Amino acid sequence: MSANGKPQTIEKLVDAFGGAVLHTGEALGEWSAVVALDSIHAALQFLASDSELAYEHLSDLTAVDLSQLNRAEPGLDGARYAVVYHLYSPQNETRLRVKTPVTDENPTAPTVSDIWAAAGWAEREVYDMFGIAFENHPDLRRILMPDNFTSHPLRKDYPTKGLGERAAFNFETSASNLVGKSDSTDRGEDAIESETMVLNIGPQHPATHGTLHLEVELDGERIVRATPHLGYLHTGFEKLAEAMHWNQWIVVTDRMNYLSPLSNNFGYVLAVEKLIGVEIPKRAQYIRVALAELARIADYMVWLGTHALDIGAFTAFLYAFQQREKAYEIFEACAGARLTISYTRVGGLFYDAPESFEPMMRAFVKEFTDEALPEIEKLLSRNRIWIDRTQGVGVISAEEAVSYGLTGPCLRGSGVRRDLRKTEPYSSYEEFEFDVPVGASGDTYDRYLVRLEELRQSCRIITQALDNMPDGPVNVEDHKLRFADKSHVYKTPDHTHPYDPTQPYGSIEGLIHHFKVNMDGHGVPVPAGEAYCATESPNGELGFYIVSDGSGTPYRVRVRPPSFYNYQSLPRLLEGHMMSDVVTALGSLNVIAGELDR
Amino acid sequence: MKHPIETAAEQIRATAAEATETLNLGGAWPAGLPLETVILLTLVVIAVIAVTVVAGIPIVLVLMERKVSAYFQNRLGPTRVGPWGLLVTLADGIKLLFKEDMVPPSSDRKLFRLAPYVVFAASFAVVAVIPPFQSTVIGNMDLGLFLYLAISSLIVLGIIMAGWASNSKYSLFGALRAAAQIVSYEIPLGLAVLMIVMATGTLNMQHLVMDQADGIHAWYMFRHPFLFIGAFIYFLSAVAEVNRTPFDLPEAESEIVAGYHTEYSGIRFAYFFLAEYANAFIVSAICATLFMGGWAAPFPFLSGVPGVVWFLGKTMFLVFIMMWLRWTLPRVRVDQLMSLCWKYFLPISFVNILGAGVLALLEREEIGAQLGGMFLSAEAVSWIAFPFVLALLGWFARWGTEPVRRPS
Repeated sequence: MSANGKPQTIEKLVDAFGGAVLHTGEALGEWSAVVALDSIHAALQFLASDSELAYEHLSDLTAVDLSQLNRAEPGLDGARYAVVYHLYSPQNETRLRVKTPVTDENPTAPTVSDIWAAAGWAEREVYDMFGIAFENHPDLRRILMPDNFTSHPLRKDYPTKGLGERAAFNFETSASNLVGKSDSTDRGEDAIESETMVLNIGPQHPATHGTLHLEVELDGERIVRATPHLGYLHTGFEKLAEAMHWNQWIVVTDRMNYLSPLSNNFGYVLAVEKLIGVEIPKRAQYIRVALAELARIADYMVWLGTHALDIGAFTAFLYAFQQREKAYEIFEACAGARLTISYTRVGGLFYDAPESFEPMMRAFVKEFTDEALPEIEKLLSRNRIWIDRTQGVGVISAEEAVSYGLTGPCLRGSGVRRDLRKTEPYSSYEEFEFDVPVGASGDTYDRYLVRLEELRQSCRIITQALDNMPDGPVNVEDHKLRFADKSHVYKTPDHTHPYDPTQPYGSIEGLIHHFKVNMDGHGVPVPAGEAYCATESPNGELGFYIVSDGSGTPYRVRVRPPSFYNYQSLPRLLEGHMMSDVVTALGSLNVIAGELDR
Repeated sequence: MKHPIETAAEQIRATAAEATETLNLGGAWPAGLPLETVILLTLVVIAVIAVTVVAGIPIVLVLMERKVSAYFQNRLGPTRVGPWGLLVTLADGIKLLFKEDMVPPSSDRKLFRLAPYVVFAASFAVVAVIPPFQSTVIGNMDLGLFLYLAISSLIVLGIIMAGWASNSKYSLFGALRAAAQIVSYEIPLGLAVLMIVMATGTLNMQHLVMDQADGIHAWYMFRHPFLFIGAFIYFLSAVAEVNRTPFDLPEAESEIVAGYHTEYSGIRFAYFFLAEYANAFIVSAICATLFMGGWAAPFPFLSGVPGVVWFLGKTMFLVFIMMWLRWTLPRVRVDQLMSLCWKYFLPISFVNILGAGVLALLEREEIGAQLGGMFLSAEAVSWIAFPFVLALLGWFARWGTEPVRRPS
């Protein structure tokens, strides 16, 4: 931070580009800069390559349709879209948001995929959703919507319910379109006499665990080329957010990474709370942390089980699922649901954790660390076949991993010590003691070891959270944010809720609070503004970029899905490998289709 | 002098005539039957009985697999159909029988329909040469062992037929993997069998068992260390031959869906399924017969126990080991599979053969006895050296697995 309060980044950017920097500003602790379209590529190149700034990491690339925003964004006058780049500098541990205006008449922007490999798919998604073409992009095709789709769904003039595509859907033509998705690389004129075989793995395939579609070109058993096709599970979550209340969309987040729904709930409400600027009670923070780590364990158990299953070890799969089942029982005790738990609310939690929470958690952690994990490890870690199958498979170097935007265990497996819980602690993570494991060679075996060690660290965090669990409420005492207790709203107190003896028959205030938080046109009062909030979800950096216009619904919610960026590196991981390694590399990335396609 | 077949046929004719009379069927038709027809009828009857009995084996094995895997995985396995889930395989079979007979429209229909029978017939035919007890073997022929090697190789033909006729890339992939794998592993397997033949000079399975009948020390497996290693190579190659984990690449579910039988359903799929389990049983039975004394009791004082108990006991033990491997180990990759065969099994087999040959020669020329007078017998020397060799091999196998790097 320099003398006039502006960070070094902004100063250097303004120094270098002068008039091209249309606006700089700070809000909620995040600095952003608006750079004119014709200098954006040079500016980003500068930010990425400058040795003092070193924004090596493109966290996210997205766009916002400004056409219905009720305020003028400084520096973006006359533009219909803003392309938004979220950058992160591991060296300085700083973030920067860069925006550039794009007009409706000429919706084009220069590609930055030459600076960060991560931008490749992100730009394709922006092209798909907003119709902004990226010049010189090596492979600009639709990514989530089918190739024959004509609209751009995240534009504000596209209705949430669609333009009748669903009614006009024809399975025959759509299916043939999907199967025959053209690929980018030129196969050359000798395609007919080719020695290779194109094999479609998925979208329905035992190893894709969902609806991934990987088109591989094989020379015998050897992979010549692998092209992932996405979008089979695309459900328009980001579009849905624009028509839902702040709390309503929590339910949607459950469906993203459905293996650890709490992490998504958690990340989303944190972003909203950041936008509101509210600090939630310590007890709620601790319960959130404990459950987020439990969600991480449950997620890794599914990853470990299916990963082992794909490599052929069936028994480890069932051992892992047994543990996941026990974790789900704890979620069930807390939230009443097992998979789609929607446990968090803006301003706290839905309920306080039950009395059985602590003993259940302690019993789980004890059994998990003492028995289950060593047992699973005994089956795999020193198994000759397991080592032969995973070591040296799907290797990605640290530089490449950063360039591809890998986060989470996939990045740490390559030896980059980066964990948002350490670098940008949220929800009191700074009060916990835990280590961040990193791998050495960046292969599948290292990613496996990193995840195993993280399981132990998660158990450590849970134990600390339970030991130091504060008492008190789990919601902020602000009735504009929190849900009123049911006993304040209804006449009959029911026994499943904390019963407040002062309000035995409900109260008019309770009813009003309930109405205000829930009803259309009221809702949680989120001020106008924007915020990017990233959390360390099991798969990596789960970011929520939220633009609010101060009404009862978000103006734009962008999810930075870790799976999306991780999956992008798959063709790179598979270079020169064999057919059997497809499932190994895929499993080690732990791609969750719900999060990938949203 | 009459040909023994004539005598047998006359006996059968007489028995049949007696039965006709007793049962009041009227007429004396059996007497008029020509010799060939009688033999044919007898063979058919024997075959029907044998196939029925043998077809029961996979049904038992499938249940066993499900129960074994369940207990390995902290589950109960099937419990609903019949007591302790005993009838679940039958229920599965009935379900498969009632399923629609699907033949993919783009497949080569004739080949597609034929393939399961080829696999099924090839795996069941081998049963003929296995002696289940002392007195009986369906085909007591001097070339029994050779017949086993020859016929079991036909299975791969059926698999390629299935993979090719399905006209599906996954099926073709599975079939090609199966072909490469089965043909490759046939070699170490054949070499292991060859060692036995070198030691005994016979291919008749019944004679081989009789040679081992003295007790556990007479089992070929424990005759000398080369045969001990040979037994292991035989067993592991056999596991690869019948496509079971860790060598189940031709039907690796997570990679190529179900391999060569991806497109099969209903009873045709059941044929593949039954053949697979029949195969697992048969290779185990051959292994038990060749290396572990077949129906012979391990200790002379136990010889009162019927031979079939020992035979089934030893075979089931080996089948259990196969299941144990399957539910513990991951799957190897195709290049690792091939390097295991060509770079490890094959050279070791050659060394084995050489060693076994030297030992056999020493015995035959009675040089061994002379040497024995001076030092120790050749066998004793080799048994003494054996643990060191094993330790060396074990060290090689564990090499590279020690460092569990704890990243932190």
